[in-house]
Amino acid sequence: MHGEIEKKLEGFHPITAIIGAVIISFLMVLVPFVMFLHSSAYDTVKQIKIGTQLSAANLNSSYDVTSPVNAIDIANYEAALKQKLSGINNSADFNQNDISNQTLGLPSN
Amino acid sequence: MKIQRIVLFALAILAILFPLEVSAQSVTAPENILSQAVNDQQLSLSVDSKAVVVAKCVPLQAQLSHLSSRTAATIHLDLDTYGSTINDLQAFELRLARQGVDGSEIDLLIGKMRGAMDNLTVAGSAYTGTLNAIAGIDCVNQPEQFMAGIVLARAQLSQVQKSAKQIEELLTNAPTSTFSQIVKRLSA
Repeated sequence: MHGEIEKKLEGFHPITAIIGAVIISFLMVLVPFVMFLHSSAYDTVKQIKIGTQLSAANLNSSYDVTSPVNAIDIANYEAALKQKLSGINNSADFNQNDISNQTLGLPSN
Repeated sequence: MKIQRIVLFALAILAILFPLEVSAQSVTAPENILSQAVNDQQLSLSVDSKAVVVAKCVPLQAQLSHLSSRTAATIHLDLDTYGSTINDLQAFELRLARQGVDGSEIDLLIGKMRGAMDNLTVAGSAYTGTLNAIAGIDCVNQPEQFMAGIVLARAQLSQVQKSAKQIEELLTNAPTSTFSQIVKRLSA
């Protein structure tokens, strides 16, 4: 009985088992990581990162961050902001009619 | 005995990696988005509808591809505008801080804008991705995918509209919700 157990243990290498477990764990981490790198989620993260970096760089270089603010500055900025936003027309830019069945000439189904 | 062990080890690795690889492919392949949409919508086309879709598919693919590029460019421009607005607001906040005036309303506005901009980026990316997937399908064999993609794109466009409207409202309401409080503080 004792001899049989010893014989079984003879072929067992704990180091091999540990290395095997480490390799499997590594692969289990690697595959989802590669999945993420190829996913659209990562593209979105990259876009957001670029935007944030540009924003941070611009702030330091070209904006007045020292002079005191008064009520007139804010009133002027409100007017400038209104002017800036007038160039954005969301209802025309993102219009459901662009992809309606009727516009595309598709069956209503 | 040793060979058996190696084979078992290899099988164990395959058993783990195969499902992961399959799911990896399902994430990256854009046509899977449309197949999933067909299943979700339980879409089936009549023979007549299928014939109409097949006939119009190719010219519409060019149109949708153009729409995708145009929408991506518009979102990019809008995000640039909102990004420069955030810079303006941050500069104001720094100037206020230097003169010892509380500008925490600006901080709140910037936080809300950043959240809405991220939503717009994600929604826009999903919408243009679907339009590109529709533009890349096989028109003769996948008319159902084409129609399901259009329905999916409409739902995603609603999300884009919602996010864009959210930012617009934040900035339109800024004079009353943000700036008026600071003006009061400066005038006091």
